[in-house]
Amino acid sequence: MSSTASPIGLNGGVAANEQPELVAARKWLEPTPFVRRFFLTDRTRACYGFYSPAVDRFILVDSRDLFLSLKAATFFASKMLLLVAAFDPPEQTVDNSNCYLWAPEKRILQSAFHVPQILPNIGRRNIVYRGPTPHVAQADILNVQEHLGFVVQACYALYITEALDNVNAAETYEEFFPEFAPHSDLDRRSFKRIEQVLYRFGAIDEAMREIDGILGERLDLRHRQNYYSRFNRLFYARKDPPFKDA
Amino acid sequence: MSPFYITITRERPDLGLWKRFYRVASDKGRFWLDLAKRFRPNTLTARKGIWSTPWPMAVHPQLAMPTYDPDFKRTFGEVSDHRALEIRDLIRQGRRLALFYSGGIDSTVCAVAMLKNLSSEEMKEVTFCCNINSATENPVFFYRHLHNKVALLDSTRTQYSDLIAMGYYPITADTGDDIFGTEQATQFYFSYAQLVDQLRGPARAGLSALQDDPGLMERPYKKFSDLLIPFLSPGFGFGAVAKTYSRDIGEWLYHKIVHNMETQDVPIHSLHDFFWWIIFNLRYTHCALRGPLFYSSAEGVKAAITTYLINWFNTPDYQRWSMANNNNGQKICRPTATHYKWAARNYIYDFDHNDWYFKYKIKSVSLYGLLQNNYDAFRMMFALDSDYQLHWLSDAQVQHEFEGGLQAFQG
Repeated sequence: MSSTASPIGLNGGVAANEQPELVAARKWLEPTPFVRRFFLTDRTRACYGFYSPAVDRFILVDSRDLFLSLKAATFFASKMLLLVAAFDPPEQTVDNSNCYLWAPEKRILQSAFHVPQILPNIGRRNIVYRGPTPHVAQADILNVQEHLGFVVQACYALYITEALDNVNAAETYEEFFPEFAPHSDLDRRSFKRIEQVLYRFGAIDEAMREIDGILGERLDLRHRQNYYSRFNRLFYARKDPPFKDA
Repeated sequence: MSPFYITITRERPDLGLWKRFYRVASDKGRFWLDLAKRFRPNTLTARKGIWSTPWPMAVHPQLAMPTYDPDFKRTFGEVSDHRALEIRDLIRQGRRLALFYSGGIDSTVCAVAMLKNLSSEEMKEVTFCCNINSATENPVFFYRHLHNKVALLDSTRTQYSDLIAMGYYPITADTGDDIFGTEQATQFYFSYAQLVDQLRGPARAGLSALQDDPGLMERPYKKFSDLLIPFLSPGFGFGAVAKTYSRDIGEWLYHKIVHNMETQDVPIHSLHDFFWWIIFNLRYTHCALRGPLFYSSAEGVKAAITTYLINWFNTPDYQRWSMANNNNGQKICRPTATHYKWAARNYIYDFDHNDWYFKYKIKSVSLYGLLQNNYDAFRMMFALDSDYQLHWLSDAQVQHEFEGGLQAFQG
């Protein structure tokens, strides 16, 4: 056995003279190669795609977070079913100006999925150039892309804000303690109402105003001010939403 | 016995019956058994035209095909509105109704037609039998028109027989696919490139050139026999075309279907006509009866079929509309899943103006739960006879009849 090979088939290096108990203690420190397929090291290029079985093309690509992508797809399912694919970036640049000309190498039966999920079996994770779809106008695809982009960016803003500013909320643990009724307060209700907006909205402009209305409640409270400004900075890169200029 | 319905599934290896049947069957009897692998289950029976089966069969009187009327002029919307008025009459006679609503296009047509044509008082007599999958399949419609507006019942816990026991007349949209000719058609268009890839010789180039043709489905079906034969073969799988398949069976079935088409009076011309005819003629009985047979208790099958169950699309008008509207863009206006059931999509859109559903709705299969709930029945049922008795393959006498049919079957 070489000094870099793992006796348990994982990727952590093991020195030849290491004691077995130390090796055992390290066995969970590295993911399997299979898990690595979903979390590419090179994030300088798009490696996640929102694939529409209806259009048979990618609608939007990204390189940030697999599970937030899936969350965004879940919200978008009220409009269009999307599957999130992790892929090896091809030689040609695939970005949001051309991703709707690309599709997974292996076609997905259009009735196979009912709700968003990570796309399995993409065909050695390859995506291929297919050109414009003959069945959906480019303007329609761009309209879908705009709405999806809105949901994706709002998701990142909302969940990062929540993770940073939702101090000491025990909601996550409620499922483990069914003896207690779910806790509800203004902050929890606001968060869930914004999720509702992202699932149900029709026009982007209306959704922006609705979200602002929810986050703008009780701004006399300091922690609400923090949440409000954090979300806006993350989402709009400014303290207030742009429509407030008018 | 002349059954109304016969089903051959592939899922019965535990009894060793399949091997036994296979041994005694004629060549064509074996073909018939193998078609269970292709159609899952094989329930092919004709309502019209010449069509031999291993066992003599009768057309259920409620499922007979109406006469073809080439001058039928009513639109899909008019037929649907009229159907809602028939339903309204049932309410006025004092019946309580329960629509099995999945959120898919067919049951949404039923919902729209009733919401359009029934008063709010009359709608109080209609319960929507649905579950969370129905809501997620069409959330906009659910929020706008059903949530807090109509009575809901959880369909995951309610079979047809339960509803009947509760005093409801269940409404099903189960033959919607038959009216539009979807199912096999959408799978074929989806698999077109893969089917072409397997071809060799001059046919390949010609058929490959049609791959992105928006009018593919309206071209004469006979041009596509080189693709239809592998598509109809037992080796064909959903979403993938096997490298090897039983071409003999596909070829036999293709010619059997063509012969059936040529021995009746409804014009069959295009590729979509071909697929439409398979489901409109050969699968119609299955689509209409699978609900009461597999989603109901066995005791009340006769009453469920003949008295209680309201099959929304099983009317002479819908069927005449279906026969008179081939190749005009009403059933499918492009060979892709976002453009099937075009007239139904338009009917729904005119009511709810939901662009997303109109443009991007694709098929969700809603029958998995049904079969999971009644897997044993699905696996072991053989026939429903004309006295509404169910025949099971666990019965030695039924096995004997089954073998006799397969042995003598000449195709």
